[in-house]
Amino acid sequence: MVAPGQQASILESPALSGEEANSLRAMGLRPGAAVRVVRVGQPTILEILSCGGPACGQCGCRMGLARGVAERVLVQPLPTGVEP
Amino acid sequence: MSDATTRVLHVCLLGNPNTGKTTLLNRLCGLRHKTGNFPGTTQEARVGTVGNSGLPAVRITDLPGIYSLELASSESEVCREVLSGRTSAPGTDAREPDAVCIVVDATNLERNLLIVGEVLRRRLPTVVALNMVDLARKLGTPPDEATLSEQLGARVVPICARSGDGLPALVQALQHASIPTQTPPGTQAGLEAWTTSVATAATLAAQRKAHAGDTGAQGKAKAKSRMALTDAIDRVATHPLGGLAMFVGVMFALFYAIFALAQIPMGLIEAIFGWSAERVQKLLGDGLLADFIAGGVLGGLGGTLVFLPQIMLLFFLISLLEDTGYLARAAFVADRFMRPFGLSGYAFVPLLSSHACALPGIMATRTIPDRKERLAAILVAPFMSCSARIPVYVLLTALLFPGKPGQQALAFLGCYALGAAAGLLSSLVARRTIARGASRELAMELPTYKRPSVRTAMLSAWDRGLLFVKKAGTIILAISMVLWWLSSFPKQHAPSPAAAEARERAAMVLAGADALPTAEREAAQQQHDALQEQAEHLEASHHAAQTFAGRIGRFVQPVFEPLGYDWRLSIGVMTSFAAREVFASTMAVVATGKDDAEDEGVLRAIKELRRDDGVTLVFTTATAWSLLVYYVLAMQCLPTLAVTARESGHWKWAVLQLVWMCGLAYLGAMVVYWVAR
Amino acid sequence: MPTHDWQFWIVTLLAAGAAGWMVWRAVRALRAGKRGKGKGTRTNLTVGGRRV
Repeated sequence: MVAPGQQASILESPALSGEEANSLRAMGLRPGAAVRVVRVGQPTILEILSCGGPACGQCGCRMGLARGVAERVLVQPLPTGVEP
Repeated sequence: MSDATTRVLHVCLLGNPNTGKTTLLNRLCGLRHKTGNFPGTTQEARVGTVGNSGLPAVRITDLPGIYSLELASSESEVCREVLSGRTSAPGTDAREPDAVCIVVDATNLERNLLIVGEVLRRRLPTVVALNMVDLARKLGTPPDEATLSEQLGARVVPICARSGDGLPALVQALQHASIPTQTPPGTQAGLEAWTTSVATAATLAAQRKAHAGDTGAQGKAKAKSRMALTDAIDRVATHPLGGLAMFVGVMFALFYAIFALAQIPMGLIEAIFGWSAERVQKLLGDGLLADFIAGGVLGGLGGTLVFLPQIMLLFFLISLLEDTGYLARAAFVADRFMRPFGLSGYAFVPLLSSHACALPGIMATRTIPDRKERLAAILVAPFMSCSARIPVYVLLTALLFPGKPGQQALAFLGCYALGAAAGLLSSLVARRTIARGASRELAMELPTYKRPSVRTAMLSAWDRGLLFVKKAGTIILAISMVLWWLSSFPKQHAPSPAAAEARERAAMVLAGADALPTAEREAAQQQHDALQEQAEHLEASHHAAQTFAGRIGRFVQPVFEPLGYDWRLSIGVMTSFAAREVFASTMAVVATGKDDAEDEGVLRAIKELRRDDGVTLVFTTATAWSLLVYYVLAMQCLPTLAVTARESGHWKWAVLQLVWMCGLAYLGAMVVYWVAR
Repeated sequence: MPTHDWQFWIVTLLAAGAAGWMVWRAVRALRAGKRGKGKGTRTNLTVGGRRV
């Protein structure tokens, strides 16, 4: 579990169903994407910092996930101060 | 005229949600677009045409906002079908588009490139509209369009849809669109890697071209402070209690603004129709034709069009709200309290759309991934207060709280809340019985908060206003004409015995009053006037009750008797099964049919309408509340039933919807009447 | 009924026309609903390929 303000990298999430995973990938939450956790709970809000490359860093594009989905998305916390 | 100028190019507008596609269409086509019921999941199919001299005109079809063409959602399916030429928006030919215009958010390039890659793989003539370059510039360095164009093998045009910058170049590029020279990889993983490499190349090229590092640093600082503000708003907007309080507050402010701002234009419309009716009477003199035009045509039209300002204001303000990015947050707030009733936040937007009209709302339920949840949402969507109910709500709340916009707004908001509550409870019943199962968890993009576009809101209000005027000018006008005839014939010449008795009593009161002291004489005069007025009402009621409408009304009235409705209200309820707004025009026709209606406003005339005893008002507090509840809950829309049957796949669901809603409305209205009387 | 009044026949004709037009509209709407698709409706009406 990551805390608000922390950054993390999205991993492959086998617990998500096929269509769910595909739709999250298309929305930018793909393996390798860097996110900042804005809020944890219902909903969990993630700010996508990068979908894998450096271009997304300034967009402020954010995703809201219901608790049930957020619990099934695997992430790897990134050390503080790391630029995605 | 050459072939080039007469040919019309068919262009599809595609892109992620919230990239400014609709703003772009509005900018390009303004009022020249047509809105219809697109068979996809976007609420409306909008087709507009733009052209400049000497070159082919461009007909643009706005497709639903999607993240990928390859998803199983019905929006993606509609886009795939349109791009392959298998389907089209109403009024356009089903063929492969001459060009695809992909709207890309310059501040969010990498993710937006996924759909660009999917379109490029289809080898269709493509132009990329790089939107919001102004914002990208403010936040840092926008991607380099030359590098992007080279990487994509397609023309890239930087634009700002909001201000209109770059649009002439975009139209020109569409008129000369060509098949892309690059083909992205075919696999999903390959495509994702390709988007990263293209975005990286375009961003690095832009950074190389930038002269000093200052711009980037300033932009990053701005972006950081912007994010901090967004974080703070999001924490409140999605908070369990704060979010709910915010939602209720926003909705109340919206309705208050509608009531407070609509007063003047409403008065103006009333005055115009009143003046027109008077002119007609003067021009044509006494006669049936003048009565028909003044009462049937102008009375019916005026009784409906008087609510036009409220409807336009509602859609103007909702569009502004939608544009701010707040509604996606509201979906999560809604998800929390809809889930116990078997619906998820996915149903929020379809149900919210149903507040405009249940038809697009029911069609928008196609976005709900779970099919049983979708069925429940289809069945309860008509409980949401649609714009057809607005005239009835406005009329009844105005009668209940005359001259008190705050209380009118509260009652109005209460109607919406009651509709939503009835919908949720009905969904709970459906999910426990005929559509059992769990809903899918919500995952949704939360768009950046931004200043709403007044232009887009005005176009939305114009669109809705036009639809309402069209309805008033067709179905409502037709019903008013028929109703006028039914409530005018047969003419009754025999005087009412009750009225004659009242007149006799009035004469007796005045007889010998001259000999009385001043104070008593004045009291006798007042009593005489009241009796005379009662006699007039009795006379009018007596004549009205003998007409065809009166006879039909009295025939059905026993059914509505427990709800407190007399034969006039029963007629109003019956006619509104054709269209809900007709209730207001029916009451207007019935009320303005009175002899003394010329010097009164329509609303005043309705308020003063009396029952057969000549004393009791037709609209008492109890009947007004009862009617309000009835109209919130009842299913009175044939097209909605047809769409329910079509979308659910069987007429049995439409019949269930009709019986359930009307039954609930009847019971609810009856309880309210007996409590309030 | 004021059948001797020419204005009566005009207003009756107009009202009858309006009534006829409404009936025609209702029949058309019902037929469109029965057919299962309206003008320009050519897409699959299911979610994920399954009928509701």
